Amino acid sequence: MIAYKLPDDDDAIFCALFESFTARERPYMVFKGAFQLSFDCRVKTISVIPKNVERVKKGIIKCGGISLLSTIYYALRSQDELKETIIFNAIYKCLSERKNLLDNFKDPDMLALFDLKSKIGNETHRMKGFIRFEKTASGIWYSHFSPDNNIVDLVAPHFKERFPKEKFIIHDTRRNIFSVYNGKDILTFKSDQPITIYLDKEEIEFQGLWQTYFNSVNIKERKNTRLQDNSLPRRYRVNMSEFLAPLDNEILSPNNFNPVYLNDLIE
Amino acid sequence: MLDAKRLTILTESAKYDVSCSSSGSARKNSGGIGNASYGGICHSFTTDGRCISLLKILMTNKCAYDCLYCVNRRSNDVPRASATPDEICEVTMEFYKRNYIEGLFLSSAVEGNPDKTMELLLETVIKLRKVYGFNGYIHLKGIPGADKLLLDRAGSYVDRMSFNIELPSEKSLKMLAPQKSRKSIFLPMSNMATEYIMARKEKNYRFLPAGQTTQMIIGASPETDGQIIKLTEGLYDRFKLKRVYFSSYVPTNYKTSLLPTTPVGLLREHRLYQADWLLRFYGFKADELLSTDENFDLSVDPKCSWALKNMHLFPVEVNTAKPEMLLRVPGIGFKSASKIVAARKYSKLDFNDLLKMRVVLKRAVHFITCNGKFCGQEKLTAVKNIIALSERADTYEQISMFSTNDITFSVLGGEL
Ligand code: SF4
Repeated sequence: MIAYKLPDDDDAIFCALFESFTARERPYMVFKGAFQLSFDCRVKTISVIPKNVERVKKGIIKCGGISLLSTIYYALRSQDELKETIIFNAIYKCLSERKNLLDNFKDPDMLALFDLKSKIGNETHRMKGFIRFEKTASGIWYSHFSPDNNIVDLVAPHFKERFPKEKFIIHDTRRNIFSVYNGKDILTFKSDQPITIYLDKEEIEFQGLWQTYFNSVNIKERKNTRLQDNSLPRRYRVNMSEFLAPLDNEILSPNNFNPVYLNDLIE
Repeated sequence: MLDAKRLTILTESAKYDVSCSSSGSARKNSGGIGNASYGGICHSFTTDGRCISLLKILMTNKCAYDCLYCVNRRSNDVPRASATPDEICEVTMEFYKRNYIEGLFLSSAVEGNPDKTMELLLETVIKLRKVYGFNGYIHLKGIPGADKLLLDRAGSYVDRMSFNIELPSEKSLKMLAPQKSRKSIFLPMSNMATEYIMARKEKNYRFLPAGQTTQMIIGASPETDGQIIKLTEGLYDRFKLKRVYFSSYVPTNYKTSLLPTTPVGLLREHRLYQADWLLRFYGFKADELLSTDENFDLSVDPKCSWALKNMHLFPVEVNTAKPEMLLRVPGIGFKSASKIVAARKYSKLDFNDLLKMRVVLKRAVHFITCNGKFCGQEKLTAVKNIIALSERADTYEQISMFSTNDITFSVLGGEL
């Protein structure tokens, strides 16, 4: 048995496909980072060779159009630790049959990829609702969230359309990836620098009103926390003000923010 | 600014209005702040499992009327409060910018008379759009009996309007809401429907982009489920409504022999929503589901009871059945049906394939064949018992799924 170990690069998956076709072998596992493999398994380390990446991409486009290619990039946003294997298996089949087979749902490989994609899509949709903005002292809106999948740049355009004249920052605290809207464009980047946010004075008041509203619309007689937990998983609530204790001061440190830095981000 | 105390009073009594839906309007941003999302978005979920999408609030809960089933009725001793148009606008804007809500659901008790009340509502929505530049979703409750011009004007500022028909029959309305009548509610509804149809003919999509809806209270009066869904179907046909909402009666603090003292089970509400779903998306007619003297069987869902009454149409062959017919199979919803239709292009499907595609067979197995093979029970009573048993286990989780939010999760995830 053979497994492919990929470097931390989105294009590596294409080189894995290239290797598999040229060496005429089918890895049982394709992975990044550390993985527990069975003892009789040989590991081949794949490196990224731009020429091969291009060849495979062309092949993929030929077999399933641009949409098949963008499916791959989209699925790579998943946090599933088997995502490389799942993507590999589905695309491998499409390439060997020279056909886009993605909607052949009775094939477990296609279904696995479909599920991966639905999870990303569902979470993106949910986050459009679950994200909370807080007004900072400088008037910029700040939001911290920790989604399962890497979707901050999928969520940000929704808010750009909705609030074209406001400046905002959406911060994925799990990956320390920021999507920043400066009133014109959205920029997305990673930064591990500690940050502190100084909130606007009104913030305490409006979060308080929101908590009041949240509690007053609840119908006590119909408690159904199982349904609530299905619709709004508990792990998301750490970032949502209605589930937190009332705000008591105006300094927020999702990971120790420097206020000057906040303005730098927007520039 | 609105303080916590008044906010509580004005939102507490608005909460029984079940229409949380913020869908159906794709209002684009045009300069101000906000837009509307066609599929609707849920922003939070309360401990009762319902979706919060809109700031649902009354202008005032001071009411000149005395509807027996309502907490705001004149004779009820509850704290009263009002808000000004600016206060409503401000809290809407601040909530919206923080992404707490998709928009505003504004309603009001009848303070003074219908015209005065409607004027204040209209002033608020105009201000919100024009002065505050709000482009998000607005659902406005129309006040029956208000001047037609006021109502029509409101229609061009808001996304959706609704007049509640309150109770499923004229008789019950007379008994429980003596100041209201069928006619006084149907008239503005039908006027609005006419305006709506005219606007669409002229390609004007700014007039009520998300159409008109209504709501009725279930269980405060003796109507059968059959009457209720027949009425529902009529409302869709006659007034081009987008949704009919049902709200289980919750006893208010008033003892009268005219009203039940216990709330209706949520299961009944749930069955009605399932039936409503069948009417709107699955091509069923009310008469197919129930006759007007019948109630839904609480032990199995409406599609299932329909199928059990129509066994001569089953089993259907999964590999060849028309999509419309697949949708009529108990346990097969949009998601499963579309997977089946996509996958059978490649090769014939057997039961194993269906399982692999995660089509839930618990119910469906008694109504389908795969390549001519049948694996279910043939005896009707046996089928019903098995389904009723398995149903008991899921109902808890599904319940009020349909009352929670619109297209978003229910169509995508809703296996009916
Ligand atoms: S008119 Fe409306 S608010 Fe007033 S008592 Fe009747 S239902 Fe309640």
